[in-house]
Amino acid sequence: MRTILEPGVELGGFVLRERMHAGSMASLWRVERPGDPTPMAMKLPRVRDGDDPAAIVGFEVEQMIMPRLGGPHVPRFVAAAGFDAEQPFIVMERLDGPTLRARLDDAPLPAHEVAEIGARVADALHDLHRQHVSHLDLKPSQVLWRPSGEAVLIDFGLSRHDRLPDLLDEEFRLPMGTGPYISPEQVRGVRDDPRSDLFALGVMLYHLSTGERPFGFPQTLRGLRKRLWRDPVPPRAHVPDLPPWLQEVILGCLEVDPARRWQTAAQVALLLRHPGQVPLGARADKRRRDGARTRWARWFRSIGHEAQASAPVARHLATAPIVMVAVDLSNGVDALAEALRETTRRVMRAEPAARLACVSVMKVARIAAESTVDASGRSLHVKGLADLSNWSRALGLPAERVTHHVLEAPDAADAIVGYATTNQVDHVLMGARASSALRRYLGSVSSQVVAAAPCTVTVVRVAGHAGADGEVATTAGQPETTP
Amino acid sequence: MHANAYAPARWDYLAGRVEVGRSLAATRASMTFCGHVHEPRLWTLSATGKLGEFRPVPGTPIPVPGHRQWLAVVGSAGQPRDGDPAACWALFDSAARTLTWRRVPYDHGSAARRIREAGLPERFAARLETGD
Repeated sequence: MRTILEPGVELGGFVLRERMHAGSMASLWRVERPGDPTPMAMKLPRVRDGDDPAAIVGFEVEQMIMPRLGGPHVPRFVAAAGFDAEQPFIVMERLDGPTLRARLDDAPLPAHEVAEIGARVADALHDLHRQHVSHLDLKPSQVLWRPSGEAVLIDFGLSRHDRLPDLLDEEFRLPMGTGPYISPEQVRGVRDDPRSDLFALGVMLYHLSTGERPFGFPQTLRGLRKRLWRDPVPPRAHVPDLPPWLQEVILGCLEVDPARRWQTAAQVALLLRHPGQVPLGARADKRRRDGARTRWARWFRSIGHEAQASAPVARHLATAPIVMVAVDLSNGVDALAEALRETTRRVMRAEPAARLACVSVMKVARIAAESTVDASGRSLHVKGLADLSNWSRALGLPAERVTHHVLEAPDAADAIVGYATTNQVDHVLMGARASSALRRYLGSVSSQVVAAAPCTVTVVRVAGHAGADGEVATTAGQPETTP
Repeated sequence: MHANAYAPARWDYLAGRVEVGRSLAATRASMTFCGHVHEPRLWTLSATGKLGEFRPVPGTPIPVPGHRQWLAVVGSAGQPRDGDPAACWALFDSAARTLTWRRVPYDHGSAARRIREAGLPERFAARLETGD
């Protein structure tokens, strides 16, 4: 006997209050648990005979994945009942809308607003990918917002956890996703590439900034396959004053080959937050779609193209890290800055997909705004950037792998940790100066960063110089690294 | 442990997809455990009869809800065949309905030496060292 779903009915200790949404796969109810003030929603799959098995398997997938997710970018999991119970369900934290879908009605949005929205969604995606999960059905109606501003991703019915069995892959051979957003590799049946989510993010950015869908809304497999060879109309053909950097970011998400896209959501967030640092390539200024020759070449490649096994989500993130190097050039390119550059060179050589963010901190007074124009009238900020790119030039890295940032802050350690946190940096490289009485008293910047950074920190010293109390000096070639 | 559910007395190996499918079809049990194929695997049969194969990641509890059928090849404690010399075992938590594979490194060098000292075939010793 099936439970009749109506207000007042109790299920597993939760009381149904009102139906918020009824979809083809599941219905969503506002529920309460006596004595618990948490706003909660219960998702109930449609399990009548003759229903789409995708609804059932998708629900099983969500039940597997949701309890393993945490953090601000997903709804908090509360409870679940499986298919061996009388009525299966998932209870989760309730987030009130509207979803990002509502903003599509206002498109085209100004570039800065698209970048702001995109960076927040990219943050959420990166957090999900770090938890071993590719969403694989990202679209505006799956994005909600916390009052504090974080994007929250919902609906993991088509998602893939790289350490759990993929129940969908064995069940269905047709591509799974939503027509406008599905990536080319998903069309070919690949379900384990986190970069598929970056393609969907690109579709969202395209739609928000132009008001148009890059690949329309195909309803057939044939229509879906078209994106394997046909590139979208460049956004600037729709909106002529759309900035080149935004077009570069969007088209960099929409590349057919995942290896030619931006490699991680953190990289996309970093670019959207620093438009001046987007490396402008041929994509940035494109006004029309690729010619017939390129298209035919892609079409030939797409025929008989077999899906290849790709690396698990976490391993993929590990091969495309964001490395941040904090350089102090207040004494020019001294021995420490050189030693730090040598370590940076080694790290970047070992990780061919890594991006490098070169950062220096310009101290400003805590309260009064100090003059940031020096005696000769040049902006100190601009000079800081010039010094930094001069320092990094010797690394010989291509422009698209390096960005430069001068942070203006009263406290260097705070600024470095703050930057590393906001930009999902994976590895901080920085120098530590030799011991001095003052440094012992105040504590070194590097030790503060080591203590507070959310990632690996490598501290570089010049060989042969004594360290501060309790620290062992190492040569630049053998930096001490904290996990 | 070396058998199957369709003809237990014949002691046939569950060598591949066909045998695993036959074994799952021959039982109503939700969980079947077997050994002797040496390579850790989790197979599952869905309500629509589709068979899925998964290579477990050690240390990650895998939910194995009771409405599906599962067949777990637990792996080997002393005869690994998947390139990892560590011993393999799995824990089934029947209350939480999760299954967790574990790998335990041990001093396989000494074990291999003793095999050689006892004059046993070299390949038994080499397998302990390479996991193949």
